[in-house]
Amino acid sequence: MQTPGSPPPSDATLLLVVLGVLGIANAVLLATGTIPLGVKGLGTIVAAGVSIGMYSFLYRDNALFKVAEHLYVGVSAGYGLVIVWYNVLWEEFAGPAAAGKWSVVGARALPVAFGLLMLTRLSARWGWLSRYSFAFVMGLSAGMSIPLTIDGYILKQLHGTIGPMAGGDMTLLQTFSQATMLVGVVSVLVYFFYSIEHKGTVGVTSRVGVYFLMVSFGASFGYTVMARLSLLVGQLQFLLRDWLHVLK
Amino acid sequence: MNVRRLLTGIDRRVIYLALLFVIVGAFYVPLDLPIRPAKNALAVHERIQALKGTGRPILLSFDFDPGSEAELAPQARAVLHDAFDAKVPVVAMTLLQNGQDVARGVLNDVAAARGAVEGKDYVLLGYKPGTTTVILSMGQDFRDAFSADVNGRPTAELAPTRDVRKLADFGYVMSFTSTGAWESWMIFGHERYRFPLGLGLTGVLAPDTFPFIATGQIQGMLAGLGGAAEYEAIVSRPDAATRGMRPQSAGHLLIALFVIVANAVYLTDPALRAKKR
Repeated sequence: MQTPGSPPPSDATLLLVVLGVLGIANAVLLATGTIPLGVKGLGTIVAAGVSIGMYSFLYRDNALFKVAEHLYVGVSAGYGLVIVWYNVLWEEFAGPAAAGKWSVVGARALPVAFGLLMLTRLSARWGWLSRYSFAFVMGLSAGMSIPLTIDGYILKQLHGTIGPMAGGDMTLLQTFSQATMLVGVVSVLVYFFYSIEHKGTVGVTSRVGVYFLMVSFGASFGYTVMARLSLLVGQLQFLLRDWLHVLK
Repeated sequence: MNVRRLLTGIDRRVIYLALLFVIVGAFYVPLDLPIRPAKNALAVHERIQALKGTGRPILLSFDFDPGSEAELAPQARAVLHDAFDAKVPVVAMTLLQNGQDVARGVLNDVAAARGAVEGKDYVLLGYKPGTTTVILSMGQDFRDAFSADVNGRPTAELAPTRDVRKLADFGYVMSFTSTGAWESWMIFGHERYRFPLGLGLTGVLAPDTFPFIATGQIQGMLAGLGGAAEYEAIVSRPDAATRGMRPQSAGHLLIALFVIVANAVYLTDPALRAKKR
């Protein structure tokens, strides 16, 4: 924010101000013993600095945000690579190979070969070899997921929507709730059916479907706001309690 | 001063500062709000309590990374306290490569507070890639998927996993996730192997699961930080989630106020009324 007519602070000024404030705050916290001198204290200071760097984007894009963002991406990628190496590649293949467990290596040779073939995608000349791996993965995924998805997402949901109306004891509230759900499902499906023009009865039904969709979008939006605020609350708790020690 | 011009011209950074001020201020206001556990949170608790004395373990899958830790770690902590209270063995794993240390951190914290012993009261299996293939593999042959825990000890020898041969041997399976892993657990896990499945989800994902809870495909769900606070109320252990409810509620009230004011300004706009005529 700046007063009208005045130029915005430059990136260098902004960076110096933020780094200066962070530096002074951390110096005070270390000097007073609020943050211990050591690995844990350094971790807290770096985490707080990166958090504030990320939030600085709310003012505007700046160098500190870029540093924090690149640090986050780089550390995540590096950390993930180490986990995959130790938990997967070493444990499942490289480790047994180094220990001479050839039966284990033999059993995993084909999957490893398929995995390596996927990397040929990076080559213009040999990229066609990766099609074998991708074809296997696509076929396996389709074969596994199609029947289970049809059962879980369509048949069970159909049963849940129509089934209770077909009989059984229901209270007045349950009946109303079930009827509302049925109206909602049918009207939303009509809205997404574009082969008939939406006018007359179809138009009215489609309009009802739109209202149901708006209600569901509102509910989703509300939950999303709650989720994002929770993350903010969590991060502020860290900054106020673990870094500044001004919150119990 | 033209109020309409003032309200429509507010810099977004003023709104950010107002939200920051309200949330930080709410941390210091001594006002405890009532927390009423929802039906879905109670369902999780009932499932765990039903396993008391049976010896059947529960499987907790920490399918989230530090980016969602603020919402999901409090849920996992509360559920772990409940499981250790009921003396139900806990088996922990993760389908996300960045989830292993998150799982270890949460387990170590709660285990230290409860005096739980690794290898006897709980086991951390670690990370395996593949999501769907891991679930299918565990469903058919648990020891083929996880022959050892994260410390290299054989799962056939550890108390919580000694009698587990497949996923259906678990009394309850719960996935804490901020990704689509919950769908894999439901479709490839519950639908195929018929074990009771619960979820701990971020607030963004929670609405997507309501149709599946209604049909009984998911048995219990905790939604976001609010769900964690509800579970802390159920197990009578107020912690980070309960402390977070005050600033969370204050933030919600402020945002609701902004939405109401913005809509009032929009609907009373003379240009809009002229257009409607």
